Amino acid sequence: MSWSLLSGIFFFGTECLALFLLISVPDIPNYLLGIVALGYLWRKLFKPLSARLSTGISIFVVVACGYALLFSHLPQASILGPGLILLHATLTAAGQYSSFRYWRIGISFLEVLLASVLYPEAQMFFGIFLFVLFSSLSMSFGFVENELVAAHADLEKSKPKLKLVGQLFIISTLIFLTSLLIFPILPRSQWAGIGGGAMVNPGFTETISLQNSSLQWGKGSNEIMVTIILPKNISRPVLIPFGLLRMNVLDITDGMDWVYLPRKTERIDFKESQNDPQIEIVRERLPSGVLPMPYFFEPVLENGKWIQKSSSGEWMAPGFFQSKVKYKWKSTVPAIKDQPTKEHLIFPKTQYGRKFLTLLPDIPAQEDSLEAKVGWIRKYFAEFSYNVSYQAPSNSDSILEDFLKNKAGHCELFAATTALYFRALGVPSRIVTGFRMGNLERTITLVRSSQAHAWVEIWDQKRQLWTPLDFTPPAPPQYLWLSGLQDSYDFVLGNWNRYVLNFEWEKVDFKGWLRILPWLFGLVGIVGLGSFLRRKNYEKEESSRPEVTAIWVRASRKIVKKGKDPEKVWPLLPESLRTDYLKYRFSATKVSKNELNILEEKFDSELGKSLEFQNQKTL
Amino acid sequence: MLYNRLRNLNKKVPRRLDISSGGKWFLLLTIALGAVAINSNNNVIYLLESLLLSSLLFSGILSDYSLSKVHVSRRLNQALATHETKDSITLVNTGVFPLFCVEVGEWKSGRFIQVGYVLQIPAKSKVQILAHQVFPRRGYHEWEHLAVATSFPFGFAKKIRFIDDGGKRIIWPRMAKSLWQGDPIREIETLEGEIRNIPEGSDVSKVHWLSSARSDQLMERPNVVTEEQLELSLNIIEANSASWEKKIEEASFHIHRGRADQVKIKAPKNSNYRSRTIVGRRASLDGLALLPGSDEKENA
Repeated sequence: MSWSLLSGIFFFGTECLALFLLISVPDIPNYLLGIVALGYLWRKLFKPLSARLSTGISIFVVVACGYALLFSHLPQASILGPGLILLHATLTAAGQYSSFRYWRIGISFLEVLLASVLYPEAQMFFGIFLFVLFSSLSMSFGFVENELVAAHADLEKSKPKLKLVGQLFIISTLIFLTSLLIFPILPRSQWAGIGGGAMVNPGFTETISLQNSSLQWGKGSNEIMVTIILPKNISRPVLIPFGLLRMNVLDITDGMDWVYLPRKTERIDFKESQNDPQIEIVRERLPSGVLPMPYFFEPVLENGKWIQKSSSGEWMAPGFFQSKVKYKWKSTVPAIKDQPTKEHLIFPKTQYGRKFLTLLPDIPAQEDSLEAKVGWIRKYFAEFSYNVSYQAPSNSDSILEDFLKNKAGHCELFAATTALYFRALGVPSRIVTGFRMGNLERTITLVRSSQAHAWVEIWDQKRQLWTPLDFTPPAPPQYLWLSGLQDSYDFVLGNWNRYVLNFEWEKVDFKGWLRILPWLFGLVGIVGLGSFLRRKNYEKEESSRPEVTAIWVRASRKIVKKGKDPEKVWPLLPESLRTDYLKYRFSATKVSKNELNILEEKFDSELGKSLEFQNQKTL
Repeated sequence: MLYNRLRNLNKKVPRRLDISSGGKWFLLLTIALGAVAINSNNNVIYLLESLLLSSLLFSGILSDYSLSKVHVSRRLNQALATHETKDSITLVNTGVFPLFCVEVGEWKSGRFIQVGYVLQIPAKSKVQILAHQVFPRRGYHEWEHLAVATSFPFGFAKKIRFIDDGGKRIIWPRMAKSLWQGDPIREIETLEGEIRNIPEGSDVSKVHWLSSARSDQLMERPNVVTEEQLELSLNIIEANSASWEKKIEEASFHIHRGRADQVKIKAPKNSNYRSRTIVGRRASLDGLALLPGSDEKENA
């Protein structure tokens, strides 16, 4: 592999990475990548022509196609991102005339910058790291290539130094890590900025109740809905008992649509006080100025009747374009003690509700204990399996019938059935929606739409509280290794949100850092002192190395005294001795006195033999 | 040892920084992005700004490390005008990391003139290179500092460290090309009795071991070429004539060929020069190099 090839690979990687990051921004059309590819293609197609002509044609084609396509499709779109890509494509097309290498890396940097600002998701963290790696390697290899060209080296034949690649890889990593250290100490102002702070978007803070707020879910996607950063003085099992994050309480199920009864939904008012733990909930930034609307219900006209229907709409917030919204919830963890009402015992008034009673197998008696009833239902559901891709029949009345027949379904069906069973057994029950959390150990919790879940709460008369129950069988793990990666990704994303996107000096835990400082200074001090003392004075060593030369000079004098020519005797000395002498004489490492003494002794003994040999030869 | 090290801390090593055009753009971008970051208060822009600053920082640290860990020594060979002069340059990397893209050059009139380039010097080792300098004219060649420089890793700026306090060398006049025709070339680059670096691939039996042991190189004594002796004479009155340089070059040719070992210089009484006979081939060539007509044309 030659320098040119390796340099080209890194350069190409840098460009591709920047372009991919930019087109990952939802507002920027992907087909623009094709325009850049077109630039490359045209450059190759017109290679046989003269450089100027082919460059001219390539630029014309790219500009004509790209800009026409862009303006015809995106009359309202922000021109900055697509404009950068088209500029990139233009320079690419002009590449035959001049490589514009540094300009293209500069544009790539601007693309990464724009992508990060428009769409600061966690992949940008990795993207930026990879960009630093590729661009460092690319710039450095480009620089070395230029130097080699200046030194008239044959780039195609000269082999790249692997040590250089390794060193640059380490340097890139160090650059990235150092930037994370520099990042917090850069001066920040409170200034709103020119233009009324159009880009100033630290978000706003409001106090909300988790109970009032639910999010759109259930689409099975892995989108992150909310990030919860727990304070140190509260553990997650306390905040999220059983790993179930409560969002909404629903009372009656009606087919696939859960009917929300506003007057019955329990709202828990949290008492705020100075000593309450503070939980920071960060809603992820969305690309198009749309904030997710909490899962809400609205009247919908169906078959001439107004019904309350769940909606997974989005809350348009034009005033918060590209904004991040932070919610702070100050509360004590509430106990769910609201009293049950008669609504918690009624059946749906639809057709299937009545049919449901006939489907029930042998049920325990109303007088049995709650534990017995729970045990019976658990036993009943033991044969059931989880099936997220359950296809509901078109007739909503037969959904539960179908579920009980197939013995497979998803959490909503399990929750709805369980709630109805308990109601049939005389136990007040209700459906709760929210999220089932995975790893309970982390401080930072990401709530994803794929974690959306439904379960039931039943009223425990003895303890006078609602007890959550979840009979949904666990979903079979599809990719175990992927779940491990997911945890790591969540960890990075959480910290990216916490320490980069939402960085504020007020949040920095100084006491924690102060504990590290003595160790840090100690380590740096030891390493520094060690290297300081180990430094050699090469000025002296590089002088003529007289102590080694003197050995041969003394030996030469002895030879001359015997009437011989030192130059003729030298080749007669053993090869090992000559090698040792030259090694000590010319090497950069220091030679000890002991080694010199041994060398001189060898010279003395070998000289005698060589002189005798020469005498015999002369005779 | 500690005392010596502390005492040496006060000695400032002279350095210079020449920012390349790419570096200027990079600095401009850094400043502009800094302004945008302050204006926007956007943490992502702050992060990218810190990346740029970090790159600058590491670029500086690495180039400074390279310069502080490399030790350079140069062995000057006799230079002949218009001929490539191959001085031997030895670079020692005293550090524990390999060094890349190290340049050796001369600092003169505020400019760094590269004479040698090494792509890599492995850790704790020595590399020898040949400088390829060509001096256009005879006379003195002076330099203010021997310097070592590097632009590694990104080429944003060239950091230059001065090694010595400068010096000068005599560039011998070139040989008249017109006389070369039909004349067999024999040992034209060296003089009789001169010890020189043994060219690569030469016969090892030619190595002059005593000289080699005293120097850093393997040396040889070239064969002596004996020729019929000529009498060379030059008159400084002709210094302004068009044929003056040609005469010097012819004299140089004959001395190199071994056909003369002394030069008679005639000078008018009212001039700054005096009439004299320079004896010895080396001294004659030095004398020829410094004859008037060369002073105002200092070698670049």
